[in-house]
Amino acid sequence: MKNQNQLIGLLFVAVALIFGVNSFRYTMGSIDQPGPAMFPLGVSAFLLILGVISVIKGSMDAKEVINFKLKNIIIVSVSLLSFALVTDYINMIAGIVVLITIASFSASSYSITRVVKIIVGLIAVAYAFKYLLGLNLPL
Amino acid sequence: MIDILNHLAMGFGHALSLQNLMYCALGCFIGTLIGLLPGLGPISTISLLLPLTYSMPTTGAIIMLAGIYYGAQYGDSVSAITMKIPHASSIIACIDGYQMHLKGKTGLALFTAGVSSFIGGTVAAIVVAGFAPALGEMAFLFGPAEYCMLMLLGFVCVSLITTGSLLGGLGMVSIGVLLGMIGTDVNSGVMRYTMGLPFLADGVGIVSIAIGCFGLAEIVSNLDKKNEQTPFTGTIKLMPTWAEFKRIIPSALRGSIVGSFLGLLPGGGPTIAQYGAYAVDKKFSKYRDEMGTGSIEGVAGQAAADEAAARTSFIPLMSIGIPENAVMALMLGALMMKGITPGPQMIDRHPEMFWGLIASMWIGNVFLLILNVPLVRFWLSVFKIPYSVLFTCILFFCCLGTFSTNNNIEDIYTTAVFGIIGYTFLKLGLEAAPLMLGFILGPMLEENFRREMTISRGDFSPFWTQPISAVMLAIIGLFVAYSLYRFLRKLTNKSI
Repeated sequence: MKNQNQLIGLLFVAVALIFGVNSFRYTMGSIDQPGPAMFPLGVSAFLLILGVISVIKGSMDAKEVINFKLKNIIIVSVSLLSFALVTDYINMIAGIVVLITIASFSASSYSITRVVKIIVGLIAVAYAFKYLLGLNLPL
Repeated sequence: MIDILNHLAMGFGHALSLQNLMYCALGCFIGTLIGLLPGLGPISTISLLLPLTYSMPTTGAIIMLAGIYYGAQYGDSVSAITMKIPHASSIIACIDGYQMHLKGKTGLALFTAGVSSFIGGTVAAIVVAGFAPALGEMAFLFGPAEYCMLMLLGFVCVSLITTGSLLGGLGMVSIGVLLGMIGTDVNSGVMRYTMGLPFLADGVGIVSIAIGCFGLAEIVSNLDKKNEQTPFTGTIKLMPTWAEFKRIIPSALRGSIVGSFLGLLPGGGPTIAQYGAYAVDKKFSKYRDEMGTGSIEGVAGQAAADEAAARTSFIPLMSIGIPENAVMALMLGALMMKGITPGPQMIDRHPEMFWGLIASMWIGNVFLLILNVPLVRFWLSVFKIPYSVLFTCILFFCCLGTFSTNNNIEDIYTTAVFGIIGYTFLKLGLEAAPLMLGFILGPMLEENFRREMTISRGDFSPFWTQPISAVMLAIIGLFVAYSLYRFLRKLTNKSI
């Protein structure tokens, strides 16, 4: 179990390391001709320091439970990802069907008729956007 | 002075015809409607509706575009206040605006946003009318060294826009800066941190981050709480009390001044102005302790700055022909399609156009105030549906908004990923507003820093030998010293 400050610190350290280590793949340049790596490396170093301070600060605090619920965020992100995938490979109508069907699982109750109603409504909205407003939708 | 009034009278003469007023009303109306949808901000709204103006007479078309622009901007702050789903220019409205909404003061927040943007628009219109030709030159005074300092000043202000810990705020700014590094490096053309994905070559879209970190994170957190109530219950009370109204004015005026200035700088515009105004209010407002918990000032200042900056960002476009942000580039396109090339000669050659534009922008503002602000409660009644239905619709509009920015379906992947990231931040008590600040300012800081280093051959002295830069450096120094002093005093007080 970790507390909030420690987790924040670890997150900062992780982000700093990802960007910092990867910056070595680009040219560093010199101070009168800075390359693409210099700036991100500097910022990563700063973030690393902040992360370390936060971890140290956190180790002095009491432990606490972080209320991180995975279910809904996974459902919502999966629904968006599948919307993009299905729209890309089939079309947006199929995308809307997939988006609403999956996303509705995160509501406290699930009703098929409600899902169908929303899908029909949103498809109508999508058509209106395409033909009334000229939005270039892959329907 | 008489000259300016004459010119303005001519402008209003051109703009005020029944037909033009109709165009303006129509533009405001459609703009608000589209801007209201989460994720669809001014850029997508203008590009969507641009074709509507093809067949119109020039003045009418521009008036309509101005109407669309203001409508979209207002609609955008409505979605930020009521759903916490911002676009680039309404990020700050998510802080206090959304808090006001949660406290049941939705109507007051929407009214404040409307009135403040009117005030901001009016102040900026005066600035534009009085000083446009002279102010155009101001952009030239800002070289890379000055820009570096301006960006750093922005970062230093981060402590003013965070309500949480300074450490967390600084960390979030840094993460924002790093996220801004993703994409093609403008100086060398090298692809950085794109993981070989072609759609990241242009960088991560600000819309994806905004929708992900604010909107999606908020939706999921509502779902977690089994918060099934609709955000719009009952009637919405728009009119403030006199005491509330009195609080709007000073904050809106401060915001207008900050916005008018920041709007002049290329690369600046509304996105940065809102942060500036919030920081200024947090420092100088009488009610600064309430900010962050749903205060009127937190909405009024940023809305006024947003509007003022949107207005003054026309100055570089009109006087030197340089569009300073994506919206201005679209406006430039629209003007050129009508056969007007903005530039130094525009004010001389097409005075009726220039002054007509200023007049029509103001008319657009008036329309917004008298037509849309009262109407907005009817728009919101559309949302009086259960949250279990509403959130799926919002998700769809978020997808649509992300997609329509670049007509790129792959941006939705980015949005989904930022939803997860944003939710993690929310659960850790980290705020997304400083992240956005870093994301916006970071790339500009890098570009200008590298430019300055190349020009000065690695010499740092221009930062303190050039007057404007030196002044800003001094302000930064004072600010840091003051923060350090307060920090140390707090520390010693604690130990006693």
